[in-house]
Amino acid sequence: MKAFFRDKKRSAGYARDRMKLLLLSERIDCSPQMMQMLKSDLIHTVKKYLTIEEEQVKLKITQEPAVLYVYVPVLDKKDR
Amino acid sequence: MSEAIVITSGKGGVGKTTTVANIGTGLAMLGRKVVVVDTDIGLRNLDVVLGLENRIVYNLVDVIGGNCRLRQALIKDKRHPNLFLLPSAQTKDKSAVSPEQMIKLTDDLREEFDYILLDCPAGIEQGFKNAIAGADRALVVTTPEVSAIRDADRIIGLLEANDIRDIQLIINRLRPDMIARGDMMSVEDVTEILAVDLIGTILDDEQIVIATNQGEPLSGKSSQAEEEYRNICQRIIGENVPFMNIAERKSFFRKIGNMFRK
Repeated sequence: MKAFFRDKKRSAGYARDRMKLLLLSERIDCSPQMMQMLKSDLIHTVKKYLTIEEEQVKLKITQEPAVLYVYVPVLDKKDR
Repeated sequence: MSEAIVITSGKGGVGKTTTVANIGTGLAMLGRKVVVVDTDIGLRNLDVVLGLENRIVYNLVDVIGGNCRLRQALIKDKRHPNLFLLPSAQTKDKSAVSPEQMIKLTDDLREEFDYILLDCPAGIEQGFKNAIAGADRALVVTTPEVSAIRDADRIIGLLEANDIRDIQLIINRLRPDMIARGDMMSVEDVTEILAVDLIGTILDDEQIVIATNQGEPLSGKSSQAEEEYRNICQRIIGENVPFMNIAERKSFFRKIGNMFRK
């Protein structure tokens, strides 16, 4: 909730989003543009089968060993 | 059982050396026998931050080259009987030492000391490889800025690739006022981005500059930063010290400040 109010209009929000994307791509040697494409392709594919909260989809990559985690919140039947 | 801890950051100027000086002093005050090792060959700094620059006779390169015995190069801090400094060489360059020699040196120090704190140079070249060679554990220092965070992430990857898995984060120079208005990344933001465990947070505190000018670590100055360093030291020795909420802490200190202003 706090994060919601501290919105992206302020500079820290920009910094946070830029860093998340940049580090994600640096960890796997893949450009931020490619990451964005990967993310939208993943969303596109999952949407064929499930109703999801698109804005909440998150990608995370750990270093050593490199593992890609994809967080996709699926909407409840009653929320649709 | 002794432990060798490397303090590293990737980016320069984020507060590695100050952190080493304060944690070294803090652990010594907790009764542990501590040696702080300046591994930045050619650019020595830990000695001036500790105020021991006038007492250097031999240095790390002398020890490794066999010009002196280890004990001759160790400088005892008279203010803290448990604290010793192994200074770096000012005249040599980083190629004077190899990672194998650093492992040997660290192992020799283990026989004498409970904690060996290795102050790592900035960058990811030879000096970094030397500093991490003998370490069991790493503390990564960063500030809430994009450049420092990016370098910290790179360093964390390199530490893991070198099989140092015990990595914890210190976030330095936090400004609660800027975080509150959304112009500085918060502790939660930085730990989430870097995905490593936090061991401490240090506020941007002018006492640190004053203490460094005077060549003495913060211990005993009863500043916010000193309290935070003490918490970090207690966490290093395995005590469970709760993290304070930065916003609350600020208002608490502001209240005290206001009391004095009245």
